[in-house]
Amino acid sequence: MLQLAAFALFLSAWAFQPSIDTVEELAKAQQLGIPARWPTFWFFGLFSQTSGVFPIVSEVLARLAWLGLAAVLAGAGTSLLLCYVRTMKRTIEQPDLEPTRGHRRWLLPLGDQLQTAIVRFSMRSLARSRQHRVVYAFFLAIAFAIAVSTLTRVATSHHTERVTPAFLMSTLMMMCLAVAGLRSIVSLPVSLKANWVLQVTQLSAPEHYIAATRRAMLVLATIPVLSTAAGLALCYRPWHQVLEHLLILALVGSIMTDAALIGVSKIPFACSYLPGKSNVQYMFWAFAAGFTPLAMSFSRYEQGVLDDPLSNAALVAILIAASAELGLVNRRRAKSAVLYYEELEPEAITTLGLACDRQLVGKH
Amino acid sequence: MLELRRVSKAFAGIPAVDHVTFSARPGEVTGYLGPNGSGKSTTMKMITGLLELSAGQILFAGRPIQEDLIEYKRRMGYVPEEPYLYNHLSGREYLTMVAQLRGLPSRESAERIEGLLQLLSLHDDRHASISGYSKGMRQKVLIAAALLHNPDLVLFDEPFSGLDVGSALVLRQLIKELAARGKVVLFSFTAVRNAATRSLCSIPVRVGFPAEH
Repeated sequence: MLQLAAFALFLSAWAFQPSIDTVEELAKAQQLGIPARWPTFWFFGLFSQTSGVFPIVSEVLARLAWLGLAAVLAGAGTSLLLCYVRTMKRTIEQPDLEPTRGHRRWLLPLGDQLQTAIVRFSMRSLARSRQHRVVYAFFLAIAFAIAVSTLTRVATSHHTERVTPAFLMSTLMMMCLAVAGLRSIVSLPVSLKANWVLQVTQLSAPEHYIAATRRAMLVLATIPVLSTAAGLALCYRPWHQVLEHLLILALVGSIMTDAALIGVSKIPFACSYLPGKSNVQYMFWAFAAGFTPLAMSFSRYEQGVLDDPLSNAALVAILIAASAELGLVNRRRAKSAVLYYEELEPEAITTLGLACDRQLVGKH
Repeated sequence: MLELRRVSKAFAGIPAVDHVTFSARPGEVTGYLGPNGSGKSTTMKMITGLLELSAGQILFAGRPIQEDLIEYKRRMGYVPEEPYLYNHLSGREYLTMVAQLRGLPSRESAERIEGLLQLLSLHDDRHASISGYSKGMRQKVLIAAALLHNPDLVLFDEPFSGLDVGSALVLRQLIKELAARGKVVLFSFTAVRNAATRSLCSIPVRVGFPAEH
């Protein structure tokens, strides 16, 4: 939670800072003392001081930047020293998997017996494995920061807002981040040697396990984001547009979940992985470059569609069809799938091409 | 009855198990004795279906196990040699997960879990994390997991390793009881070394020698 909160705080601070677009606005903001409160402007002041581009910027900001830089360096050095002297040993000795706390019993039904087993196993693995939590916190914190920045925009306006593309986009981004983040996390195993029990107790066809994996993805990523979006949506009006958007978001979540599971025939947290194959940072930047413009265009289009019931119904119908088709493709594939617990590297050499050589030899 | 007919297993051409043939009958406890590295655990893994055979055939109740592996697994309980468990779960959570994976009714399985935990003296530690369990406690969790679904065939791969004398005696009694109820019980062991294993020898044992038959 601390990791998540720290990262979300950092991103929220960046999202909340006021935007100053013109020199006049900057001069006015300086009179009010606004730039002195935000570190970004300190470094803008430092840049101005060293380059001389904006002489209007006060030197106080540059001084604050130098002080901030010194404080950060001192803080980083001290924490590194403390970590080396005090925490390093403790960190090494601490197990990666945390022990269970208490013995609360789950009351919510999570599907049939097999689905309940897989979903609970996934929830416990995610909650109790430090390694998995840290990586997922990275994705969740961005989603959380987006949610908070959306909320503050509403809070400053002092009244309920009309549904805006910014709100639509922020919820779409949250959904994508949560699904993509979870998909990358479930590829990392918790304990490979303990997986024998899943093999010995495999009494159902692989399609049931793949369905359980899908359910785990829905429970751990799609439903929490949908609930958060529903909470945020309370600040927006009119209601019918909000509900329509939540329906669209649920469908987008379902499509993303199915898309993330294309070709996946494994149980969450129970398969070895090839580091190059599930590279989280590449996945993140690919997402940032690919999905962000797509989400922007889609949210603008959705905004226009929400005013028109007919177009909106058409969009919902298209999304339902896409979701059903993707689900069908996955289910069809699952029928002939074989569950695997080891990722195998593709063979580097497939053929030596000797037939070609023989032809050459024949010619001579 | 469990029957192995000229079962062989080779890894990269190196034989680990070579033409093993024996049978284990219901109501009897069959021991599978051999020195370290003789392929006992490999044989056990082939009987569970975890490993594929290189040659030969394994039959249960007169039918090859591969014919209906799911039905076979439903009737089989297995205690592996190494107690590898999910460390982030508690003993009770692990057993509940196994019961759910086997599709056992939740109320009945909860009662059975409680009973097995009591029997194996694990009840007080049922909510503690498995990461804090000793090897013997882990072994007990495995034994409980193998017996949860009241299997017809029970495979124990060196079940006494890590168990204290008291628990070993309980297990010995349990093995006898399982055989008395008409189950097929097969267990492997290395040598007659400690008190628990010596006491086990009072049970009628049919010995299979890996790599010798």
